[in-house]
Amino acid sequence: MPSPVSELAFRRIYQAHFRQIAAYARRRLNEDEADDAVAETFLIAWRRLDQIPEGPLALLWLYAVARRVVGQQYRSTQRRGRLVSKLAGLAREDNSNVGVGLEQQAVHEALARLRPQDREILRLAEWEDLSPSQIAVVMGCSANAASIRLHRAHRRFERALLELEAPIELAPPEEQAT
Amino acid sequence: MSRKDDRAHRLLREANPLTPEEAPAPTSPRGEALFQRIISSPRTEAKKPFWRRRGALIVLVPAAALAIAGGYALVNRASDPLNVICFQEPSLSSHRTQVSLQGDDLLSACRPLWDPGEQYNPEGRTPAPPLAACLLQGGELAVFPEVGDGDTCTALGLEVATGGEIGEEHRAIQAVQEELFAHFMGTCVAREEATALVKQSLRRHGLVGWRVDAAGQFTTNRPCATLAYNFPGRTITLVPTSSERSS
Repeated sequence: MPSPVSELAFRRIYQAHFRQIAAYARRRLNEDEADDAVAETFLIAWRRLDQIPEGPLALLWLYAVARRVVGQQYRSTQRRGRLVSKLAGLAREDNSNVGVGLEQQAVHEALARLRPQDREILRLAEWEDLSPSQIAVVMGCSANAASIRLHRAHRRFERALLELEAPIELAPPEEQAT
Repeated sequence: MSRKDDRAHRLLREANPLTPEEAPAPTSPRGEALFQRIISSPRTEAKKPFWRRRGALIVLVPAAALAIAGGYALVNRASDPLNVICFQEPSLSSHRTQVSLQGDDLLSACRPLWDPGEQYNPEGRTPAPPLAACLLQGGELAVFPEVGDGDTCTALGLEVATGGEIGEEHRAIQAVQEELFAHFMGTCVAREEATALVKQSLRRHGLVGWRVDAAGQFTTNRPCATLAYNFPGRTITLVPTSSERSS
């Protein structure tokens, strides 16, 4: 039976951060896989309650765990050959004809073309709204390294986006037909 | 930042498939079920001496320091006077719900959970049971349904909470919390203003030993302060958050 102190401490962490961790997982996996990843993340948190830092750092600790769990989940899905895992916004591709514009499709495609590390650092910055120093905690690197990686990932993303958009925006209609 | 950079940032943010508000809440049936499943699984406790364990540091050290400095009794004091844990059954392993406590009437804080249609009485078939207030071993205030001879706390190996656990300092911090909630609810309060408001409120209620921790990183994305109360540490921490989450 857990001690009331442990349970209360865990409940506080769970209630404070469940939503962010659930959102993190659902942005990267389909709903069922995301639920599994959230469960696994908080189970690890429960077992390692003594290691979770106090205050706002607790969320970064959870993101770091969730990142590993989601990574394992994704690799496992790939191994099974079921590419139902929804990388970045690729989840929306299935519904691409219902409301997601060409620009958004290009963004998702550009994200998918990036290396996993670049993709993840961009998502942490833009979707989880983390600063470079917070990303550093999640990714286990220095704040300086996180800043540099983030900058480079942005450059690569812009290049990928330009490559994808070029035929749409620049090519005259008759050339597109050939 | 160039216009090209601006566009990349904007496009990436717009590509976010989910806002936190769209994610399930911890209090949703699925969230609560997962919580129960997790806490019913065994924990691998770290093999540390007790004085290095986090719980011990949070609860025991400040309590001991207070006892030495202020002559407080260690027993019959609540570690967290702002919350009470309401148990569904007269058992420490039964379902529990934490509710906020105003004043020192623990039973009134938990009783609404047994109202017809509420969490502990969803079908409204049973009248609310008599309740007993106890003090958990960690110092948390707790309420259980009474059993048999009405000696539930003792049967569970717990002290009876008599109401004396809520001291003057406890009442004062409850008042501060209530006062500040009104200031922060639905408004984005920046760090400087938040610090001033918290200090004023602490002074007004005579809480001289308390401090304000404003060291969090406030940014343009997270300009608003929310408050976290650490009663054992006698600290109110300003947590930076975005304007949508500030309430």
